[in-house]
Amino acid sequence: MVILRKYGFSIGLYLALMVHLNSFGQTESIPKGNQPKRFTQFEQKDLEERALRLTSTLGKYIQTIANRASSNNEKQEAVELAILLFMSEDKVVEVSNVHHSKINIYEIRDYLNRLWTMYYDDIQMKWYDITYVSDFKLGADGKIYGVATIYQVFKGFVEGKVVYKDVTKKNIEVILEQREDFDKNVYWAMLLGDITVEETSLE
Amino acid sequence: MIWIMLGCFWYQALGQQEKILWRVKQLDQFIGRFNGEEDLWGDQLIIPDLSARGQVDEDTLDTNFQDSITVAAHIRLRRNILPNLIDHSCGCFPDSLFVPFLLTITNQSNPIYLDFYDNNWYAKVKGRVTYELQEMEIELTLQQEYITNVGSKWVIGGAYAPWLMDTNRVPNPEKIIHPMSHEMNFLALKRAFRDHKNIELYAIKPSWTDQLRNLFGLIKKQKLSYQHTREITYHFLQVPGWIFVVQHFDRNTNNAGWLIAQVMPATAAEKALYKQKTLHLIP
Repeated sequence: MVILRKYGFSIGLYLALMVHLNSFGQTESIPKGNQPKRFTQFEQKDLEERALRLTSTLGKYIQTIANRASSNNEKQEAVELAILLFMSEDKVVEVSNVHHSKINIYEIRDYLNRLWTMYYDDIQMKWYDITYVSDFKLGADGKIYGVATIYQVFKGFVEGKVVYKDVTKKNIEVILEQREDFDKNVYWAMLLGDITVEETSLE
Repeated sequence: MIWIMLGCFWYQALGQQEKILWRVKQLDQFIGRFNGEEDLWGDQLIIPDLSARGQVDEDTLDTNFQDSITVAAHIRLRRNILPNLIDHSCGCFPDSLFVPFLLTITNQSNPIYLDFYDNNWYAKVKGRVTYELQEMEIELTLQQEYITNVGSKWVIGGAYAPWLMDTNRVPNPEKIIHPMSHEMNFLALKRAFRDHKNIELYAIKPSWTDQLRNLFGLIKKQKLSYQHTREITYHFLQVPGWIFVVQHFDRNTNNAGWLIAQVMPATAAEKALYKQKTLHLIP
């Protein structure tokens, strides 16, 4: 197995465990709650891909908003388009920092407008090519919920020099809601919900 | 700490990408790795007896995963993954404690898997509220509640704050703390506390502790608002004979993210006491 090769299985630990194996056997099993509908692997994969496309679109709008080279019209349009990706304008962004206890919560429009007013000459936002999307779960309100985790490096430049750099972990809520089109056809719309932005200790 | 040394035998200095890969980024990922559904590199695996758990219809299995591993290989794999799911910084997991726990989890004839929809696991939230213009600390305990044929949500089951000592349910599917709120620092609690007229709809039914009843009274009178969550810990009581606590560790190492911070052997009576004393629930 590729996985076993990767881990280089520890013989010592295994032997230690085998010695104890019989003496700690358990026959009890975990009491299960009610079993709701679960998404198949195919459904989950499809939802994950759609969620990642949606979050990446948001990333592109954020880059346009925060980039000094963008015109005011471009920035304004990017703010409006970004807001359309969200379930509603009352969705919030919670910003926390590993070094401070202060936590700030902004409504999405406020958050995007704050990015607009950054004082850097140039910014660089690199999204690590590692994302994690949770299993999607059916809520008691009939909507479907998932959370995508993304790591991002941000660099702010003034006169060509990096004056600010951080690595943030962004958890982005993804919500599927049933809607009707003009012909009364029901479809599932995928939209963004709240976001948490957490500065990490990663360099 | 022989098992830590052995468990990390293959560890080499990891780059930033690898550190992020290894980091347990969500509680959902912790559960996946605990069950051996995903390895530390993010590769998906099929639990050999998953169908026996009634969770997967054989027809839905992705053909790419048909080359799934045997039960014995999967057990070995879990025994390699699990030591990496504990907090290595505290040095509070002697072999005498961790090995029996690991053996309970990976017992070949009855392996233990966690499931999001299990009973008997809880999120304990330490949050900041504003009460009569003063910022105060509060502890809330939430648990998953599933409504048959509808879906699930988090409900408030317990509350604790020293200042809380002093002081007909209408179903409404719109009023929920949705099932993934825990990955979002329970931001939904701020909205729930603001919905003061319907605060009971966010709570467990039917029995409340005195403190929870007092808390809801203050919210209804609009004397109290939720500011933000300061800390979340998850308390798993569903493993027979054991309680373990999962907590977030943010640090620039490969042992970071959502990890097991405490493991303790516990009888049924001890678990009932733990629910009452630590989680502020009616046992």
